[in-house]
Amino acid sequence: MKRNSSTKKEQQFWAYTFLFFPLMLLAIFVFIPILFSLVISFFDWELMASQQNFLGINNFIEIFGDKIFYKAMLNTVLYTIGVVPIQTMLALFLAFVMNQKIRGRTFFRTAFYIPAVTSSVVTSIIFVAIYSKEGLLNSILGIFGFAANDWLTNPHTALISIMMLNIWTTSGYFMVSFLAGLQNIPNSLYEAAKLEGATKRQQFWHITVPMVRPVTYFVVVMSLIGCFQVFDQVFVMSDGGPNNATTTMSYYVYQNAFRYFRLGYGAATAIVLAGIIMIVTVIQKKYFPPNPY
Amino acid sequence: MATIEIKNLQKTYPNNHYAIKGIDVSIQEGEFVVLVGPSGCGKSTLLRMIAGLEDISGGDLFFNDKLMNSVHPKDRNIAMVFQNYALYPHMTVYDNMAFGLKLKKMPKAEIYQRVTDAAKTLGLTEYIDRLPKEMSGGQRQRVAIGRAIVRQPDVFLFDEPLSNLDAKLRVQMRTEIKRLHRKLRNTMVYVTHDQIEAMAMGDKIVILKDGVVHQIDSPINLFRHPQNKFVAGFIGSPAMNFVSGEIVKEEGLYFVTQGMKISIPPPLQVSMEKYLGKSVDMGFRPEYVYDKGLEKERRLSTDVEIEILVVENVGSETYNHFRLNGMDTIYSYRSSSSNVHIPGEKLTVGIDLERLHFFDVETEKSIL
Repeated sequence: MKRNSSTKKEQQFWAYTFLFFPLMLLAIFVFIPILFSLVISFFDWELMASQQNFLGINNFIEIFGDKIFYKAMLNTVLYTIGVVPIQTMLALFLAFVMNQKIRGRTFFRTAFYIPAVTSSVVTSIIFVAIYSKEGLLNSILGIFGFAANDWLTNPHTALISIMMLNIWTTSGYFMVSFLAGLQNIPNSLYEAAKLEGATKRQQFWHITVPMVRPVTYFVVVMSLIGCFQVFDQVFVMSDGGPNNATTTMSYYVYQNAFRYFRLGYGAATAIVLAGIIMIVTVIQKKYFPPNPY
Repeated sequence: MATIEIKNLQKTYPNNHYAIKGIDVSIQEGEFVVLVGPSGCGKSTLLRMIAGLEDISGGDLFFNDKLMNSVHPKDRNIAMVFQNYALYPHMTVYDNMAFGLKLKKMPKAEIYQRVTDAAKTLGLTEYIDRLPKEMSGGQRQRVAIGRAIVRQPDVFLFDEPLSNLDAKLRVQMRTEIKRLHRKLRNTMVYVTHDQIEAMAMGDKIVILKDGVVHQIDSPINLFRHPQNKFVAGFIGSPAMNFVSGEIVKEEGLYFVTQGMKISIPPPLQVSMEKYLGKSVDMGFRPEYVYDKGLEKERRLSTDVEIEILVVENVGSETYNHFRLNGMDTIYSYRSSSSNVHIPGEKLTVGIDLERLHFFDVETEKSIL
């Protein structure tokens, strides 16, 4: 009667069986393409050609002399610097407010979260309308006497406009992460602080902020990666224009690979981007560890 | 230092649940008062109302004759020690203790002085730079106490501070808290569900059940003169035994139940007269049941025949659980560890007549 205890071999068999299919899917759609893009980054890859032209590291050398690549990198960095801190602070602030006993908090939580579950293409199209010359933003600003601006075609405001959209869509998403983190903070910490005379603001800075640090780490990493890879909003709203004012690195990868069909060069830029993201994440982990206490 | 006056204090929740149903307690300056009761009795709620962490729904709370009902917690000059310590995990021991003082903008030198003094008192000096996670439960609770001490409050409030510690440490810490009280002489209010802890620590014990005070008294009085059946059963371990029976009159008054006939001791004869022919509950503590073969000096009741069911030998003494002939209830009897019984043993015992308690069946009040 050994039916209830399967042998170790049996367990292993089923474990590998269940692992096989997801691993296969990941291999086909993730791992192999990554390796493949690494390979083609050393070629002048032509889709239809029977023989590919090996370039060595020439694609990478070209990148470092490419002005538009630098422009894309600068845009991406500006975008990240603009979005990540504001988004993180806003998400934490929203979560802190939503965690209080206020009227209609279920409604507000849902309202803030809806952008996160809406397709980014849809929200981008809506924002194109909002940002247009006759759009909502201009009519609201018009009430206060500001002149109408064509937000997305003005090189000075195009990038900022896309940043605002991104902050709006993702703050609600990260708010949920912070909410979960806040609910893990024992209430007695706030009570102890209250007895010691800490105001709500002091409680926020001395208890909430340090206590949600692991969540903050997660949020910053996720939003850093998200910002470095920003693509869909740019694609829908501005096509990288005007005059490359909104060309981000991801968009530049796409442009090279699928507009100019320079697949090898596109792959090389993608690899440089991946490298940059990795370096930034490692630096963050080293200097801002998730849980020092 | 402060006196606390609690007058008809009430706590009602929006769902019409009455957590505290009109409580009166007065606490003297420097007194160590323990609030004790089973879970859900309202003891923590009462403490949190004193602290200002819960609103007062009715009645008044005074500190030194000053109405405190709507005074903000930080202005009540109290310090509280929580069950889960409530230390700030990202701050060192020093910073945890200094936090409240920093908020008060106290000069750095004075903060340093107070914190190092408190650390010394509590034996925490060598841990001053540690984070809470690097310390044991007992040490953390000491930090929490230190955080209370440095503020030099009028009143210390303790909310089950020892519940998270293991049994041995709990006994050790309760001595330390008592020692601290002797040294500081502050008013302290201490909540626990553990009656032994309450008895060991309190100058005065408030027994609560279902949001009502059942008795306020010194530990020894609670043990000797419980005012009702609940207090009688709650205080003491193992708990008091209760038997239902009837009062009959022969040449004197007797309490009669199946296989047991006990003469009512003279001081109670008068008050028991009105229960003649009625049923009452009798209570007797396991400590006051004696083996008739061994005990010759005390005035014991008539013979009671028992059969031992279970024997718990805890070393210093033995708890024998038995059944009175024919009845289902299991009673207990404490014997010395030298007088060890075995399960199944039949025995003749007597109850110390001076240690009997009688309770009105309806009101559950002690018949005195």
